[in-house]
Parts: sequence; structure tokens; C-alpha cells
Amino acid sequence: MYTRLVSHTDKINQQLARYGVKFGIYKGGVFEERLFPFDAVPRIIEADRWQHLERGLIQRVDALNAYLRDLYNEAQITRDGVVPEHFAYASSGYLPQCENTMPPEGIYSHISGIDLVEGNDGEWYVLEDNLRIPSGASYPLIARNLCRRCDADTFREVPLVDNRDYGSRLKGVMDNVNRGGINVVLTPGRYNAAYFEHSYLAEKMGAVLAEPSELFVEDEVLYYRDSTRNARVGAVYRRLSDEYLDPLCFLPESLIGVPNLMCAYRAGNVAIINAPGNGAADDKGIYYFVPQMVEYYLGEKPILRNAPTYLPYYPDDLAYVMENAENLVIKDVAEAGGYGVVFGCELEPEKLAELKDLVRAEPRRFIAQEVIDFKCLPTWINHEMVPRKADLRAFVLSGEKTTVWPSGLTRYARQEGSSVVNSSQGGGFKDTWVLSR
Amino acid sequence: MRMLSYVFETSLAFSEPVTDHSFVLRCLPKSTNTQKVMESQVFTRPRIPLSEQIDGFGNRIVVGYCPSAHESFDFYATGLAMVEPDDAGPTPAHPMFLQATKLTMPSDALRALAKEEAQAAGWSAKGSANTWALAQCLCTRVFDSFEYAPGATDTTTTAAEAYEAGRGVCQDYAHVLIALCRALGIPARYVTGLMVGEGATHAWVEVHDGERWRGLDPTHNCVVDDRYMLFATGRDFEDCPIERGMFRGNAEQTQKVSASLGDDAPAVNATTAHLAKAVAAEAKAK
Repeated sequence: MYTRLVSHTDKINQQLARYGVKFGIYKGGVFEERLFPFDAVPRIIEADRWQHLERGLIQRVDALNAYLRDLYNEAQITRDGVVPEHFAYASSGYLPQCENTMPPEGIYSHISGIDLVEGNDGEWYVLEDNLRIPSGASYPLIARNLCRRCDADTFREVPLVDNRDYGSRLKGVMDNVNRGGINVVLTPGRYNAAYFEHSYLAEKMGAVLAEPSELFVEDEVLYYRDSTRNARVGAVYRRLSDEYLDPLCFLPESLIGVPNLMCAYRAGNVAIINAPGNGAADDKGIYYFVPQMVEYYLGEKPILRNAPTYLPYYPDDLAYVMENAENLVIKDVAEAGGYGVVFGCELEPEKLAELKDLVRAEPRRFIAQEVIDFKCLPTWINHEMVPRKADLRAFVLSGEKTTVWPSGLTRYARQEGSSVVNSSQGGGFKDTWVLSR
Repeated sequence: MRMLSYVFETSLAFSEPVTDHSFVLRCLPKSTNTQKVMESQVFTRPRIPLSEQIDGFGNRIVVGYCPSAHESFDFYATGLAMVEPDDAGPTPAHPMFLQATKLTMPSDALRALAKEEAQAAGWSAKGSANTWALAQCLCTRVFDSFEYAPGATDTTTTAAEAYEAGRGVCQDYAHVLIALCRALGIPARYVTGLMVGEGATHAWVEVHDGERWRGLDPTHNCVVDDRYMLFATGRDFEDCPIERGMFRGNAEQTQKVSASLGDDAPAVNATTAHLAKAVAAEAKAK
């Protein structure tokens, strides 16, 4: 059903390059911008499998939001010992500045990017929850648009759920928590690697794209400095990480950010999307406890599985990791974007021994996971169809209700057999088709 | 029980006019188990609207924004509080006060010192009966290992660096004591405020003895008594600076701070009235 589309691969990639669809990476300490290769062969998810996935994702994000609400207020879950207290507060994403502040409507993670893989056993496994600034929705959005232009017939024939409403879904999420005033997308600026996405999404949702210097806080209210008059801001979708958000509350040496933004937020005069402090729940270590959170907060059995995970923090798990390190993936909880991920089987014996020593010395810093044998997707590379491992970032939106965008970012590994799909590690992306029947 | 009153003043001078000046102040006394605030006020010059909030650590903060160009900015705060240091009721310690921060990260030397003192005091993490006695020993060790030396350190000096140098000011003493306590798993927090007889702001430590928070001043090697008025608490200095601001303009900033704390409430009232008058007169003139 996508044969015709594949013949347009080069043309679509040229157009993506012209639009400036790029991402930035650090290589050897130097910042580089790269094109993100697009493969026209989509990931296809059948209607019934999608419904199952959708239910599981909604459940998971609802539980994660409940956790954040609890952690920064009553912290009942640590008192009950479901998540060990020391473990919860040792997370580098936990920000005590956010204690005792309830965001509008009690929503912390408005836009969640949940990374999954489909196992060869047919099950979906969640690999990571991204609750801070999950990026990447614009890639499939713009690629779908270009594909449609190249080959409109395919999109007439295939029973596909339309995904073009992402912008209006985002607007709905912002309007739901808007405290009176305009919606703003806050970007660090045009030199940021994801600037393309910031401007694209702002346009799609009808929000103002602003840089930090265009915003200021007076009398606990956030304003946008317009050329004619100042406009009150009711909700800000910030694409700036927590520590740079407000130099008077977080990193004082930060030269970007909006001074006293946190005061406007604390006073309930503006919603921040996503809420600051969410890193406390998307820590790779806290990931281990998400299935328990589902049972604890919702009283339900978790629909989606975690990859089997071991926490060296627990002595039994540490012993297992020491025994089986060569068969496990070991992840540094403080790293993201595919960095700090080590496959035990790929290490020389002395390097593996060094890593084991490090895990023993700093058990809270690591998790270990069984290597999931996940599915390959057909991928068109150098004029032939080859199998490549691929994951899926699903976008879950929490507004009045929690919904899943019927699409997502499918990323594939560059090398055959490799399971590292992060764009920063050289992979490409695909569109994700959700079938309507 | 003692009624304390204070006057606090900070003057900022800029080498060039600055604009878009945003700030946060923590110079109002906080109501706690040991301190009851009777009265407090804050003004600025130039006069601008101020808002009061409670931050994530439960501290009173005053925030403001001065968009127009100015070459100086002054803050005045005054207040009255009833202090009763022995009357602290039981309160649990928030787990954030067990975590090391960048400024309170223990070095090997600090870990070793903490362990040595714990052994000498026959203290173990399980039976925390003599935690308070141990904390006092640690406080004395900090006092003995430091020489009070203004200018030897700055606001970014870590506990490990200050201990290594053996020189510093109240902030460094406090960070080292906090690092020692947390290295043993004893919750400890940083406190800013005023002390009778000191002409500037002061910093000390609160240690959780298993039941309640109790104050220790490592700079003076003593238990916190009715000579102290508390403004803010946090994990370290970064969480409770008295004044923090940001402005537009390529200006050098110089700062003058003065503070006084004592029993003389009428003097405070007179100062307050005088200041209020001066500020009002200025506003009218404009």
C-alpha cells in the first residue's frame, strides 16, 4: 500500500531539507545540525492494536500525573513506601522549588512523549517516559503533509486516521489550563536546534512565538511585550528546560529565562506547559516504579509493560546485575538521548569490570534492563528494502481528558541489528499510520 | 520568650542606568514553631508595587519589577517577632534536607571527619537518641577547623573547598556543618536571618534531631537562642539568598547592606515611620 510513496523518498527528503527539518547534536563537544533522514515506508498500526495501545498510554500518563501531583504535595506514595523516599528525592529532576505549588487543573505533564518498542512476542514495551519537553511531533506531521502532496491517491485509498489536528489538540490542551490571556510558545531562540519545531507548532496552534526577552513578569502576571501594547499571557508552552526557565528561582547564572516567571506561576496567573519539576517522574530510575504507580493511584492493572528492569539500589537486583551484566543493557539515569546506554555484551571484559565497579559504588545512578528483542520494520535504504529496528514515540496529551495523538514518531536504527534508534546516534524516522479499520 | 525588632537595609548602586529590574527578597521573618511574627513591612526606593508570596521552601518572598531606568535601588525592611527557641514542637524533616547539593557535597575529608565524630560520640544511624549531642560535637569541630576570614571565599565556594582552605564566613561554616550532618544521614538545613550584635545578615544551620529542628550556629559555636531572628531556610545558600535580582544594562553593581536586631521596638517604629514618610514624600514629588 505504500509502494508508490517509496518512489518519492528522495524528493520528500529534499523538501524536508529545504524546510529546515533538522536536529542538533553534540559531537566531541561541538554542536552540529543534521538532517533527519526520512524513510517513506511507514509503521502501520492496525485499529484494534492501536486501541489497546491508546488505553495503555492514557492509563500510564494519568498515573504519572498523579505521581507528580502527590510527590510535590502530600507525598503519600513515599510515606507508604511504594517508591522509596530516598529514591524519589535523589532524582536530579526533582526540584524542591516546586514544592507546594499546584499547577492549574492539577496537570503536570500536558504533553508526554512515551517511547515504546514492539517485541517479537507481539507485546508493546515502554522504554522511557519523557515528561519534560518531549520533541519530535513536527517531524511526522510535516512528513505526512509532504507525502500527501507527492502521492494523494495513496492517502485516499488507505483507511488512515487523520493526524493533521495535532495543532488544534495542542491548542485545546493550552486553553484548558489558560489562566486568562494569550497562548505563547517560548523558544530559546532561532539558534536552538529545535527552532523549526517551535515555530511550526506555534503556527499550527495559533499561538505567539516568543523569545525570553519578549516576556516579563509584573505584579505576578506574565506579559508579552508587543510592539503596540503588552499582552497578558495565560499559558506558556515553553521549550526551555527547567533550570533555565527563571534565573531568580533556578540557575542564577542563566542569562536566558524570564525573571520571576515562577512567581506568576505560583500565584496561579499562568500555566506552564509542561510544569517545572516533571523530571522527578521521567527519571530512568523512577521508570521502574510506574507499573506500581498505576496500581497505587488508579487501582488498575497496568496495560503496558515495562522492559524487565533491575534497580541496583536493591541488593537482590544488584547481585543479579553483577552476575548477568554481559546480558543486560545498563543505563545511567542522569543521561538522555541515547547517551549513557551500554550493552554489557558489547564491552571488553576489563571495561565491563570497570562498569560493574561503578554500579556497585553508585547504585542509585544506574538501572539495568533485559535486552528486548524488538521488531524490525521494512526500511528503504540505498534502493533496497532492509529490516531495521525501530521504536515509537507516542504523544499523549492531557487536557480536559487524556488523549493520544493517532500518529507518532517512529525512529529506526541506522545500522542493521543495532537497537539504538536515537536521532542523536544517526538514525532516521518514519511516519506512523494508524488504520481506522 | 523575647520580643525582637529589626531594621534591614540594602542599597544597590549601578554605574550606568539600568532598566527591567526584577528581584526577589527574603528579608521578612518567617513564622515558625520558635518564632511568631507580630509585624513586618518592606519598602523600596524608587517605590514600586510589591507582591508577597511563599516559595517552595515555605519562606516569605517579596517580588517586584522596576521597568524604568534607575541608577540606584534601595530595600528597607522592618519588623517585630516573638522568639522562643525552646518551644519547638515536633515536625518531620522533609527528605530534601538529606540530599547533598552542589554547595554541600561532602569530600572524602568531610566524610572521614563525620565518621570519626560519629564513632567518638558512639552514634549510630539506627538509634538516633544522641543525634543532638553529635550535632553539637560536629558544630564545635567546624568552629575549631575554621578561621573567620571575610573575602577568603565567595558565594559559589563549596563546603569541600572552604573546609580545605580552613577559612571563610558564616555561609561556609554553615555549608560544612550541613555537609557533615547529611553525610551521616542526619537532615540539616541552611538558615538565613539576623543575630543581635551583627551589623549584617547572618547564616546558621538547623539540624533535625529525629523529632524537631534545632538551631546551631557554627560561626559562634553555640546553640541558637533568643538572639536570632529567622528569615528563610533551604538546602543551602542558593535556596535562600536575601536579595537576588536581574536587570538590563551594562552596569557594574555595588551593594551596601546594613542590619540591626535588638529589643528596642520604639527605635524600629521610629525608623519605620521616618522611612515611610521619606518614601511617601518622594513618591509625591514625582
